Amino acid sequence: MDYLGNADLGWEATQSWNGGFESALFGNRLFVDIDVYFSKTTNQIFNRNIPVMTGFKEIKSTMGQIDNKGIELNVRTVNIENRDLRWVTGVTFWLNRNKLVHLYGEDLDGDGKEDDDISNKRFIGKPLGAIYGYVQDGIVQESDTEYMAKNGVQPGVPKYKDLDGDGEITSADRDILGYESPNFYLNMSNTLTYKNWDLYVLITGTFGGGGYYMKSNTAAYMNNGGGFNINGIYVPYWTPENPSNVYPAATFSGNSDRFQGLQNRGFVRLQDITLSYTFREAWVKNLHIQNLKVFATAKNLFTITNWEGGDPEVGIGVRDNTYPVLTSFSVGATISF
Amino acid sequence: MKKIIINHSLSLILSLFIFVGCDDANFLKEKPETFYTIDNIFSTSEQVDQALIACYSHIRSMFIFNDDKITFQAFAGGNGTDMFDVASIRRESSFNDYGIITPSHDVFYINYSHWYQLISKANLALYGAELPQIIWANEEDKAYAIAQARFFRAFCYRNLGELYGGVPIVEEIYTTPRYDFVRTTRVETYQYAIDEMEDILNDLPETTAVAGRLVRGVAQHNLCQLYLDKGVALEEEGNSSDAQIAYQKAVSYGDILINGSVYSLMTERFGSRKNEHPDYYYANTENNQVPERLYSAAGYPLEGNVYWDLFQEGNQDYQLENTEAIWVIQVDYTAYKTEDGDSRLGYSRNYGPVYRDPLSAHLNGQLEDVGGRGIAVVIPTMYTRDVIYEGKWENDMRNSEAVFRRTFLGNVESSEYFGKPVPWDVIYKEGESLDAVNTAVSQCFPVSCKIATDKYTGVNDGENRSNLFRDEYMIRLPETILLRAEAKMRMGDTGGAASDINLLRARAKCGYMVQASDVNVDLILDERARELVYEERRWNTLLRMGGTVAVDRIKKYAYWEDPRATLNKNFNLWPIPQVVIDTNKDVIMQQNPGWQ
Repeated sequence: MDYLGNADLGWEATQSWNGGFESALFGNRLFVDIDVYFSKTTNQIFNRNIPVMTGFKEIKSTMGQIDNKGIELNVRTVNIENRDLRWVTGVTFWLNRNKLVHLYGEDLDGDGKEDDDISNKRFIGKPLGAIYGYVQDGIVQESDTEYMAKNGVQPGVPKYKDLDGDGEITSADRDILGYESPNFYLNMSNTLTYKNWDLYVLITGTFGGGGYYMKSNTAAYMNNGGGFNINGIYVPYWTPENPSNVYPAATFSGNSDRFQGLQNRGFVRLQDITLSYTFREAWVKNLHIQNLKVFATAKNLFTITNWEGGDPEVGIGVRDNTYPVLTSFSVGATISF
Repeated sequence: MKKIIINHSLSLILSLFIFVGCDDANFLKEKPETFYTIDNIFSTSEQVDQALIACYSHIRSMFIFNDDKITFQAFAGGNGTDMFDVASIRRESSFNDYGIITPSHDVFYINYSHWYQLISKANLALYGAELPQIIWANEEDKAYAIAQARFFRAFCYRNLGELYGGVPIVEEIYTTPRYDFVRTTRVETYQYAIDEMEDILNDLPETTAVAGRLVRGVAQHNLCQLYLDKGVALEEEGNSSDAQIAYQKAVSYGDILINGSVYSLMTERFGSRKNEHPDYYYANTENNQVPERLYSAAGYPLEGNVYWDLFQEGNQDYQLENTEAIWVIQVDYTAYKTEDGDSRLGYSRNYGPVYRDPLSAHLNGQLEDVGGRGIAVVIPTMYTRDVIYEGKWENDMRNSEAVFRRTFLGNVESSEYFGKPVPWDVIYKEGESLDAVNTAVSQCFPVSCKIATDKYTGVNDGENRSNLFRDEYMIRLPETILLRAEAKMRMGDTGGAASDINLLRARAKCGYMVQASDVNVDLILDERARELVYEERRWNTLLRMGGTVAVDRIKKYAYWEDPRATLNKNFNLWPIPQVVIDTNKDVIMQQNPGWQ
């Protein structure tokens, strides 16, 4: 029983403004649709950590204000259009930014700005889903004698930045490391039609950058699964002869409170490629078939990403029920009478 | 034309509906049929008693090493102290690498939360007991219920003071959160517990017919402990004169229990197996457990003794005849089978050795002779195995084969030691590579009768020798004796301390009786290790000693090198968990020394 009940829980309220336009230009050769929105959500329901001296660890609260703004852009071009050949390209772009405007409405440290909620990783003026912790600065090498002496560590463990300059890594050396939400989405589809042939290619991408779309993937850096000296997966782990500045020593089994192993989940994926042939010959009509089409489809043919492990879209890391992205091939026919 | 007019009018009428909507506000209002709140949940005294049973159960979950996760390894199991470390196969849960032990470590937040959750349960029981609508059979019942609740709360503050120092004192239940808790000092925390326990002393009965229920002796023992703790904390502050007064009070509470008529040490064999001796089969399969394979048949008989009797099933309750049992946690196989999965001691599993891994050539299987189905979650250091019994300390009933078995007859037929004791240099793989030695030494060790037995319960029901089903001591009289000895030592009465320690050594028929000149902090800690291994919470003991005792001992006796390489600070407290400091946003809680 970790949750304290909250008699003041209420409903979220969102006000939003949405505007846009659709256009067809150059004689239906270029279509541009834009949609822009601003929204303000108040009384959002949060999980909030509370001092366990109350007997409980968390409470559900409604409070604060979150602003969201975003843009959706859809551009479609008919590149070639003649009797036998038609080529259409479509590009879609989505971007959303949210910002925590108000939280608890207190200013207890008296600095003139509303207080953040560090223990719940909510920062005023920043997006939700902030990743907060110690800033990694490579791996402790044998030459870092002062760092080792001050912090009581051995070489081969992750090294952190001393942000307040006192020589020791303490809770004051924490900072926002990134955000879990994506930066933007971008899709491109191409449809090529030549006589009875049809080729459709869809490439999708979710992008990080600027600290967005990060997630912890500690297992990608450790060759043990939290076990000790287990030669699990191959990584070029730190040894005195191989002083890696990316991978910790094989004996490092991670401490959940500091080592994050953040990686960018951004990816580009060839999501769909379909080749089809529509039969329009006379014998089709003679068989009383309205439409006969055969096709071959490949889905999720490949994914380009720096994320190690399973599907970056879901955020499955290394050795974490790691299901890969499912690639599927199918052939079929569509017949309608 | 007509059609067009009808169409237009219809569309006009229909479009009006767009501007008329439902009023959603009322739809979203909740009208609950009923509410269970703390105001109406207690209506009978049995329900208040249930709230107290929840407290007893919470204590059992915290103090018995069943859950093998890292918090229980540290608090219940003693991992990371001078007495316990981890096996080579479990280095990821080591708790003495101070490069990774920080205030954000899970162990501290989970353990700290457990105490405050128990305090909250005790406060709830107290609140329920005071409600006007509860009808009690008599005034003593109500007073006893209140006394139990207040005891549990004070007991939590004793532990919080020993482990974390001064903490916020919470005496009420909360329905809305607070963010402004203030830390007290270590002495103030102890004093709160002292005041509470002294206040309820007379509401606790001297004895009770119900095994496991609190009796006056439990509070008196805790008061002895608290005054001792308070004295040490006062001395650390520089207040020696008040410390001496506190030690004197500790001694006086010890006197009530030790010199009184209610409790006494067991000196003669007793209980369910008093005419038996332990015996093992050297066999690694059950169908080889035949009389020809008994240790006694092979010429290595074991001899039972009173200390061994203390840890046999059915012998722990004061109500039966065990006069040294002051507080006993109840465990029952029948309850375990029907519904209570916590009613067991997972000691054979969590504390037990794994001979079958490195020593499979000589000692295989998971049967009684290798200590059951151990997985070595927490292992005894060489200090716990050998150092405390070196030289003149060797002759000790607590070091006998029945109690702390060091003789293992090979149970693999192809082994050259089949039916003969496997020598310890073979078990420890002397001469082989460092990794082989570490694997063997950290997974194979002598087996205590407190964590394994020669007769496991439930094997016919499918139990696999992971659990013991005996009751467990929270407090035995020997611990009171050791507290009184420590208090006397701190008062300068080393002769009195020595004679107290010798009470235990006489019962254990030791060859060497200590003298006044032997008495110092190390001797107290060594004697506690001999008497209370697998029973005391070693972190509490080390952290309350003050000075540099804790870090010196950890560095000296830990099995792995980590603390010797990484422990370069002094601490006598666990850190206040970082989450607690962060969530208590209205008041800054200072972190403990050594952990900032």
